[in-house]
Amino acid sequence: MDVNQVYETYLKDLIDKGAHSRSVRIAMDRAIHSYRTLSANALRRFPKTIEKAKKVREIKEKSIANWEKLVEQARESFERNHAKTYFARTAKEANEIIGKIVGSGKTVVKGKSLTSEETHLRQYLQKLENEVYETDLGEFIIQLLDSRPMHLLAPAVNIPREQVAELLKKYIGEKVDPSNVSEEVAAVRRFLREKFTTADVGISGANVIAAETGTMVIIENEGNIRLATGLPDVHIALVGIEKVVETLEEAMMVAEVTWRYADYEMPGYVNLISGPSLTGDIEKVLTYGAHGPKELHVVFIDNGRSEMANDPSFRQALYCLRCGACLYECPVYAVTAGYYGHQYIGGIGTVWDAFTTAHDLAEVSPHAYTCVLCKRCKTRCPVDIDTADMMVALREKLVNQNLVPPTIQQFFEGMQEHEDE
Amino acid sequence: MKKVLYYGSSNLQYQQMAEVDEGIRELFAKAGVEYVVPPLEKHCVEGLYTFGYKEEARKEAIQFYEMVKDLDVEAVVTPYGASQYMWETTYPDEFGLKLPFPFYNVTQFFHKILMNEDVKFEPLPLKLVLHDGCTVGRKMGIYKEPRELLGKIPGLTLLDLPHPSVGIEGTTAADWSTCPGSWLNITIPELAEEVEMNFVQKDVMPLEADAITTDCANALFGIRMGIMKGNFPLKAYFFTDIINMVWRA
Ligand code: SF4
Repeated sequence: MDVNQVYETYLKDLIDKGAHSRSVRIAMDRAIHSYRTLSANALRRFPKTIEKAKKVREIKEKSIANWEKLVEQARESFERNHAKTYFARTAKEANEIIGKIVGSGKTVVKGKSLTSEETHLRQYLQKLENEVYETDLGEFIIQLLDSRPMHLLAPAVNIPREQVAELLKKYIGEKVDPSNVSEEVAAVRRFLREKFTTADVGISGANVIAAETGTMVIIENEGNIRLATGLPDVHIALVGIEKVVETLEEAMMVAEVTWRYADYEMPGYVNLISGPSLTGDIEKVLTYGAHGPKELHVVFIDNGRSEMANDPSFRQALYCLRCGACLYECPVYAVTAGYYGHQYIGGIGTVWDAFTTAHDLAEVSPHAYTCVLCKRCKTRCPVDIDTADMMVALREKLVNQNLVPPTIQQFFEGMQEHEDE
Repeated sequence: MKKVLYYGSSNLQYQQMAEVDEGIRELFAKAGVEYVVPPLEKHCVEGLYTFGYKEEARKEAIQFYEMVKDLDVEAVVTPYGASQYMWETTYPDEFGLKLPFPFYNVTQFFHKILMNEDVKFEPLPLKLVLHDGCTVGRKMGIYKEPRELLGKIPGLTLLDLPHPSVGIEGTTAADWSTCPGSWLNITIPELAEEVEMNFVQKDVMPLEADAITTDCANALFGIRMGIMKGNFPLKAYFFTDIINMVWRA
C-alpha cells in the first residue's frame, strides 16, 4: 500500500469530515463537557475506584502473561456450562465460524462490540443475506450512516441530535423534533422492539470473562444487550483473548473500574452470562432453552493479539479496558473525533489497529504521527497505559519499513541537508 | 552559577521567536550569568528520536555529546522541555551518553537565582494563565518552580488550566500539562492550527485571563498560532518575558 496515498485519504477525512466539521465540533464539545462532569461525579462518589484501578492493572498484567492457559480454562468452563466454544486465529476465521452458525436468511440483532467492528462482522453476515441490526443506539445511528464508530463507548459521539433527527426520518420514516433527544430515543425503541422479538440470533461482545466459572460480564445501560442476548434462540459472543481473567471476583473488579472510568456511577445493567438458558423445573429434568437462548456460542479471537502480547513494547495495549477515558483528554480527538483512527480510535486505537486490522503498517502510518505524545491520556487511564511510548515504538517500525508519511520524510530530509551544510 | 550553556537560541530564531531569545539573554545579563551557545548548530535530536529515527538520533546524539561534553560550563539551560528530557533521560538510558552537567529549564534556573528574599518584583496587575509544557510538566515534574516565581509577583493573578484528573481523589498530583499541538506543525500541518485554536478557545479563553505564559518555547509557538488563527484577545508570553517585566535587577 502506498503510504502517500494513505496519507492523502486520511488527511481528507481528518480535516474535511473531522476538524472542519461544525457538527463534529459541537458534538465533541458537548460530549467532553458531559464526560468530565459525569466521571468526576462517579469517581467522587466511589473514591475506592482509584485503588481498584491499580489492582486491575495487576490483574491484566497477570492475565495477559497467561492468556493461553486462561483461554483454555475459559473454554473448558463454558463447555461444562453447555456452551460451545471456538478459537479463531484471524478475523476471517472468526467471521466464518459465526457465519456457519448463523447461516443465511436470518434476522440478527447485535449488541455493541468493537471486536465485531474489527472483523466487519455485520457486513459479513449481510453478505450471507442476513438482516442484521445494530441495537445499541449509537451503533444503530452509525449503521444508518454507513460509517464507523467514533468513540469506544459512544460510537455516534460526533453526531449532534439535529443530524440524528434527519437520519431517523430518512431511514426509518420517523419524524421527530430535532431538539428532543427523548423523542429520538423513543423512535428507535419502537423500530427495534419488533426486531428483538423476531430475531433468530443475538450477537454480543463481552467486557471481561471469568475463566474459572466460564462467565462473561457485559456492561450496558440501554437494555439492548439483555434483549439481544436473551430473546433470540441463539446467542453468539465474539470476544478477544485479552478479555479473559481468572476469577469472577477479578472479572467484576475489571468491570467496575471500566464503567466507573467510562463515567458511570453504576450502569443500568450488568449482565452475567455463563451458558444457554436452562430449567429443571419439571421433575428436575435439565432442559436447555427455557425462556432465553437454547444455544450459546463463544468465539475467542486472536487476530494479532498474541503478537501484541509477545512484544514487550506493545503488550500494555492489551490491558486496555476500552473505557474511552483517554479519548476525552486527547487534544487531537477533541477536534477530529474518530477520524483520528483507522478502525479503532485515537492513540490507543492506532496501536490496536497496527496489530489487528491493518493489512500492512502503511495503513496506520499517518495515524501514528497524529499523536502529539503529550501523555495526557496516560494521566487519565485507569490502567496507566503509556500510549505515547508505544507510539514512538510504532514509529520506529514504520521508519524501519520505510513507511513514514511524506511530512516526516520531508522533515528527515531537511535534517540531513542541514547536517550536510 | 557563573557560566552556562544556553541551548535553544537558533531554534527560537527558526521559529520566528527572536524576541524570546533576546528576553532570555537579557535575563542572563540581569542575573550576571555568563552564557555560551553551542559552537555548532547541532540539535538535541528529540525530533528524530520521537519520529522513530532511533539510529540516526543515536549518531547525532553522539555528535552533540562530543561537541558539548568538554565545554567549560556549569549547567545547560534551555527553554525547550523536549531537549532537556532528551539529555536527562534518553541520552543516558538509550544512547549510553551521560553529559557531565545538570540541565535546567529556564524556570528552574531562574528560580534558583530569584527565589530569595532580596529579590523583589514590581507589581504586574495581570490575570495570567500558566501553561506547563507537556514534557516540562508531565514528564519532568517541573510544576513548583514557575508557580513559586510567578507567585512572588505582586498584583498578578495566576490561573491553572483544567486538570485531567479533576474529581479523581488520590490523583491530585500536579499535572496540568496540556498540549497545544505544536508538533503537528511538522507531522500534520493542516491539523495543527485547528488543534492549537481549539486549545486556546476551549481551555484558555473560559478562564477570562489577560494573557497566557508557558515554560516551553515549542508550546509558545503553538499557542501563538492558535491565538492568531482564532483572533483571540489574549497575549502569549514566554515565561522569561514575564520575569523581565517585573524584575529590574
Ligand atoms: S487506554 Fe486506558 S483510558 Fe484509554 S480506553 Fe484503554 S483503559 Fe481506557
